[in-house]
Amino acid sequence: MTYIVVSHKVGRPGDVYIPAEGVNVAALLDGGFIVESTKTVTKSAKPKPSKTADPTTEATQSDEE
Amino acid sequence: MATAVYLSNLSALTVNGVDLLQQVTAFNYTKAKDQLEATSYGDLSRVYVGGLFDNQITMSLYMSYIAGETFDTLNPLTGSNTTVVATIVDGAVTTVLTLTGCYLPSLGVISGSLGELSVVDVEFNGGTFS
Repeated sequence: MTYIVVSHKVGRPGDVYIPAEGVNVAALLDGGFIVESTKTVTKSAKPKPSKTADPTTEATQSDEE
Repeated sequence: MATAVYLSNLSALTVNGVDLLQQVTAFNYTKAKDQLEATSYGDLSRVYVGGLFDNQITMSLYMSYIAGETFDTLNPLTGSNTTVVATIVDGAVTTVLTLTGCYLPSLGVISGSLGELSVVDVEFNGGTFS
């Protein structure tokens, strides 16, 4: 389950809320500080290494070897 | 003679992750351990040993019923466990006091006198000190 910050008292409104240890999430929901999000959070994709790396650099290095 | 004077002040206070620094006017944090008697015949004075920790936080807060303020924070917590974190800055030293899993037994829903700001006193009992 993902939670979204509503009140600035618990974080920046709109951000995903990650409860710290011991925090009573049900109470925060009851108080309207956070809301449940229906969206699932997916890990952001890692940037793939560029396939168009400069081949001349590698060639130069190998030439030096 | 070296003397260090600390002016009582908090730089941050959260109850269940909610920032209540703007409402708090008094704060007490007591770390305590049960005193168990271990006196036996032959002792000439009473002997005590430590039992379980029995920590307590008491605080006075300005009551506010608008969204995201004192009442909304404490009302759902009444009769349940939560975490209180207080941060004290004394010169270059920052101390963070955390009481995890403390219990809020009661909440004065209306408290005040004519012509005065409404202030509610609450206590959090038990929990783990760190």
